[in-house]
Amino acid sequence: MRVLVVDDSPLVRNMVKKACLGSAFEVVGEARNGEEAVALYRELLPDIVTLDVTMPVKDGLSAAKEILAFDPHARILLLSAMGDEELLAEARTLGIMSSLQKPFTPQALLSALQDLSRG
Amino acid sequence: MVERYQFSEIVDAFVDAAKEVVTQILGVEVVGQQDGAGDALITFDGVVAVVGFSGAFSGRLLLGIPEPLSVALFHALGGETLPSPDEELFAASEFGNLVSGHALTSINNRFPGSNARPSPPSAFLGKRMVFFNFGTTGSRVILATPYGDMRMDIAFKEEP
Repeated sequence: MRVLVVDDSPLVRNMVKKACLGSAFEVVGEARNGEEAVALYRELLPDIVTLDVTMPVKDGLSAAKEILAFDPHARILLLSAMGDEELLAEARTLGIMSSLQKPFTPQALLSALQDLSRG
Repeated sequence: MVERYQFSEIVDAFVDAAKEVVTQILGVEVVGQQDGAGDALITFDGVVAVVGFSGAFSGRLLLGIPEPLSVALFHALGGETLPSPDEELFAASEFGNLVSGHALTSINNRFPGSNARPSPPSAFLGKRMVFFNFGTTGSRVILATPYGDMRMDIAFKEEP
């Protein structure tokens, strides 16, 4: 499964890449903000996107809205330090059904990716 | 209608979040206590993470992180060598993001309708750095970690 990682922190992007090493998931692209995420999604057509919420230029939910307008079947894992009910409800309304609150363990990330890939 | 906040509840949410995040990523205990009302003018040495937030209330979190703690955070967040100054700042930024994210999650769940959201974090490294908090209610918290004391200043203002 090809994964696009979207996070403004290079440390988090590296953590996702390391967690995916040797697994069924391959990181094929990295974006630092929502604008780059939308452009890279259109270019790479990944199977899964891990998406931070709080980012400069364009936030994660705005990016998700554009990605899902382009591809209503896009599989997005919200990977954020935020995890309140209002935010998750807004994400579900957009069509994001999976989320994992940071900080995460590699095991928790792979488990969330596996669940999303089956869904 | 958002339930009325008590400032102490906002501060407690940030203190609890900082303890929780440090324990989760470093596996160490943190002891924290409010050290007094926040100052309008705050001076830091070392690494500082800054995160603004807005919603039904707005404010700013300043985290003064001792060098050994920022290095430990860098390694816990996947860094493998001794961090460069840039990498220390990346670790501090992400730490500020984690603390504010967890605190605001707790506040939003406790006070539905708050819809408080953090801004992207920034971080600074230097000596005698001066930050100003004007027109806000502030609180200063000292958190003791095995890597040194971390200072947290929370400034808060309710939106009209």
